[in-house]
This record gives sequence, C-alpha cells and structure tokens, in this order.
Amino acid sequence: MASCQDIGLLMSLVLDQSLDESEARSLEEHLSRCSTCRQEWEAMQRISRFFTDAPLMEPPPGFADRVMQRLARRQARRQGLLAGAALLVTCLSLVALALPETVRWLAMLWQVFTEPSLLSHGAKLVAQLLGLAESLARACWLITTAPFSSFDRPVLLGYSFLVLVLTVLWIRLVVGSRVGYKPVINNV
Amino acid sequence: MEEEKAWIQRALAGDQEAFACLVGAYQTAVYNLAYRMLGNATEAEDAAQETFLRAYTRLNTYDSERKFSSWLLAIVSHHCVDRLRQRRWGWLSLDELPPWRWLSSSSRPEEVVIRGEERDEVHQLLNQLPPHYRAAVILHYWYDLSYEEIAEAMETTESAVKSTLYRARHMLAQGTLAHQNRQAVSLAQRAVAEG
Repeated sequence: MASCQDIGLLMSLVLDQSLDESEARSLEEHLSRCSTCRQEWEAMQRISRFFTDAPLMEPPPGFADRVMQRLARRQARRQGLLAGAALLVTCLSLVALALPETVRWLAMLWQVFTEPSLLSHGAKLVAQLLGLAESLARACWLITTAPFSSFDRPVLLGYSFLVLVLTVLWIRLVVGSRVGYKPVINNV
Repeated sequence: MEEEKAWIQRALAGDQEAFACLVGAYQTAVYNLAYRMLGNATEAEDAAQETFLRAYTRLNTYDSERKFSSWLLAIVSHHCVDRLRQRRWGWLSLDELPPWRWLSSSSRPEEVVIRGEERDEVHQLLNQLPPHYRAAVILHYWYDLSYEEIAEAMETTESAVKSTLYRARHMLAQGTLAHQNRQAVSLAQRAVAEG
C-alpha cells in the first residue's frame, strides 16, 4: 500500500500529466479513503490553476533600448579600461627600458650638484666677472676721455698696460682653473 | 529559427544591432522570469538587463545544439537565485506570511486577476518557496518547459526536477490548508464569543 508521501508525489506527477494508468488508479484509490491527502490534492489543484492562469509579465516600455544603452556604456567603459591598461603598460615598459640610464644620469647630476668645489668656483667666477666688467668700464672711460687730455695720455698708456697684464692674468687664472676643475664622479 | 541563428552569428561577430533583435525577441521571457523570481519591478528590470549583458559577454559559450531560450532562461534563473540568496530575508517561512486568502474555493484566479491583485498574490505565494523551488515552479508554469528542459536550465537531473516540483507544491498546499484551518478556528471562536 502506498504511503501518503508517495501519493503526494503522484499528485504532483498527475498535475504534469506524467502519470501512467496504474499509478493513476493507485492515486484514485488512496484519495477515496484518505481525507488528509484529498484535502492536499484539492489545494494543489487550486494552486496549479492559479499559476496556469497567471499571465506573462511584459517588460516596461523602452526596456530593450535601455538594455542596448547599458551594453554600449559597458562596452565603452571596457574599451576605456583596456586603453588605459595598454597606456600604463606602455609607460611602464618605457620606464623599465630607460630606468638604468636614467638612474645613472640622476646619480651623476646629484654628484655634480653636491660637489662643494662647484659652489666655490662659481662664486670666484662671478667675482672675477664683476672685476673684469669694472676694469673694462674704467678703460672705456679713459679711452674716451684721454685723447682730449695731454695729462692723461701717459696714465692711459700705463693703465692700458696694466689692464692688459691683469686681463692675461685673469684669463690664465680662470681658464686654467676651469680646465683644472674635475668633479669626482664614481662610475655607476 | 534560421533568423535567430543568423542574429546569434552576427552578434558573435560584434554586431550590436543583431543582438538588439535577440533582446527584442526574448525580453518578455527574460523579464517575466526575473519578475516572478524577485517580485519587484525595479529589481526585475535590473536583473533582466544584467542577464542580457551577461548573455552578450558569454555568447561564445552558447552551444547552438541547445535552444537559445533555454540557455537564456538558465542565465536569468541562476542570476535571480544568486540575488535571492544574497537577500537576508529572501524568503519567509510558511507561518510568517500567509497569503492564502485568495485560494479559498470561492476565489478563482481569473477573478483575482480582474481585481488587479494577482501580481502581489502570485509573488506572495512564490515568496514562500526557497529560490531553486521557485525557479522550477516558474519555468514549469509560465514557460511550459518539460522536466528535461527545466533540468537543463537549472543544471540538475529530471528526477530532481520532479522531486523539487512535488516539494514546492506540497509546501504551498500545506500552507493553504494551515491557513484555512486557522480561519476556521477563528470563525468558530468568534461564533462562540458572540453566543
């Protein structure tokens, strides 16, 4: 004899029209003498009818357009992300290629700018340039005024000789010291 | 069918207009399943849209030997089951929210539909079921799919589908009967109180 649980499965199958004749007879027999299963069978039938009669829900107007807009947005975002990733990879690869050379140059520049002799030489250079400018100004002034004064002529010659000597000395000093300046740079 | 295959081929080649044709053809099927599963128009639209986006992305995994509709419905049902599982209170126990009043023998479904109450009541009824029971019931009643097709969409076996449908119907029937019993007791108590 079939149990109430077995009969429940048969009820479900008969609703799907998947029951053979002998099972249908067995179900009918059980229902004729079991009021509990009969009640459940009636409830199952009502529920089944309710679902069968319920309509398909239509999507709101413009649904398909919204899907396609969302798809286009997602595609654009994906393409943007891909382009960004490609750019990033390109930059990283360039940096990786240039990195050893860049590091070497940065180290060299750092050593040049941190070399104390550069500052002292720079200060000397500026002072000497100022001195030269002053001498040149005086010379120009003497040259323009000396021809008009017989008293100043020997002074002009003497001063010109002095300027020449000083200039030669300055050139020797500056050029010699610049040629002699070699910052200490370790090979990287 | 040939037209559908052509749309799929063109969509696979990146033709979005062809995919729009597929969306137009299956929008009701997809939206209805999402709506019946989730019971909320806003969430259903979002889930249905997401389904089509996933379908577009995964179109290269579609096996042309299968029905396209079954493949699409499988995506919707899985997506909705996932959403329901993410909800803390995705479904309630039978005793918590009894929506059985409309299932009295005097209330025919078509009358309920005419009264404009069908939507909520179908949802309240489906809401009593765990997500995968709900999916099986919807695929069976609204899409008229065979056990085999439901099994394919839910990635399970035919015997599991039969068993799931039985358990779902049993749960719903027991809920109906329990509600009717409570109503009968309440009426009897009221009659006694009124003398």
